[in-house]
Amino acid sequence: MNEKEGGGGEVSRRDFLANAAMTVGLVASLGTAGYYGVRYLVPEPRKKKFVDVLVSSLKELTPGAAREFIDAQGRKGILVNNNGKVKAFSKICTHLGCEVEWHAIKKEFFCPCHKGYFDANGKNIKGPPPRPLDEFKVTVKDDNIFVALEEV
Amino acid sequence: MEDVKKTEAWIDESLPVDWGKIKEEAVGEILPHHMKLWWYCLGGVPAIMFLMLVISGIMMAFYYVPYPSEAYESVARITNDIPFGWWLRSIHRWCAELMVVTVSLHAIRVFATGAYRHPREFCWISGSVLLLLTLGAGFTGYSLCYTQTSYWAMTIGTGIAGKTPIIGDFLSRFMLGGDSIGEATLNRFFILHAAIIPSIIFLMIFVHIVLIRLHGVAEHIVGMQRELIKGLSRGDE
Repeated sequence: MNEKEGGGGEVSRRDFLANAAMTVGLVASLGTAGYYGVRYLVPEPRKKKFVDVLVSSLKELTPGAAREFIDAQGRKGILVNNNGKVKAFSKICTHLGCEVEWHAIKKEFFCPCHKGYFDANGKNIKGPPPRPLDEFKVTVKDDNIFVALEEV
Repeated sequence: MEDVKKTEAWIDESLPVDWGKIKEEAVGEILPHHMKLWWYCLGGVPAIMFLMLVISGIMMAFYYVPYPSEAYESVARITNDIPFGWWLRSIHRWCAELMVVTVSLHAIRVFATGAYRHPREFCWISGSVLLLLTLGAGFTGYSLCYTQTSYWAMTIGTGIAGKTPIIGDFLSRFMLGGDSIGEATLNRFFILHAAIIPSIIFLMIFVHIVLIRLHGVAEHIVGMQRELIKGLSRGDE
């Protein structure tokens, strides 16, 4: 253990193996303990908070109608009443970020930039968009329509 | 090789410490034969347990709240919500139990083999103080969880103190920080458990170890006598 200038052959194989096993064990156990300790002290990740915001009412949003809104962070959304089923989607196309339009007759969202189509449930059906439109949670209470928006 | 030597020379110059001598002092002590048996070395276990308890205890103090309405909740949060809180709390709890057990076994061993004799009176006295402090730390720690059992343990503990002749009433009021268990009691127990008792334990362990190293480990008189004069019963000197 004390052979500091042991260039070759001065540390016996037995000592080397014993020291190596000791070092590996110490590093592994202290490493695990250190990892646990750090994980314990790191605060939990920030939770997203949502607030229900009144955006429209069923009187305004008749079946088949759509209505645009802007959330507190300036992000645009679109509210659609698809035969009594109210849904809210982000207007941002999932392809390259253009704004989609609601096509009332075809009951589709259309993105004019690269001809992307989404159905009334926000699902990407045609064109380049890789995934469905982002959706907001909608609550209907006494004809009032609330959309859950992220708190800033 | 040249670089290594240079670095070593630099370390020796800037930190003029004789590491070899320190190592010799720390691990090179020559011990009597009976120390090969583990039950003669039980004193080291509570020392290690104490180290673990200090580390895990400091970690838990990050989240523990010594307030009646929050104490139990914060302990539950440590156990259930915070990552690896259960791990730290389990270490703390089991180390505490093992510390009480091994300190007691160590005391019994020292008593049974007569290792407390002159000139080691102060080893025995500092050890006895350590035993009491360990039990005190156990009691205060048990109370901090603030479960039903904690509450009634506090009631009983302070009640026992209250039966002390003459100063009993003062003592129990002093422990409770008032007439009944409440905010002040938890604060008192927390400070005792997390600051005062561990500091004294640390000092006493230091004194205890220094005394042992000054005296050397006690010779096992009973065993030696047996070897010298076969047939003598235990305890004969």
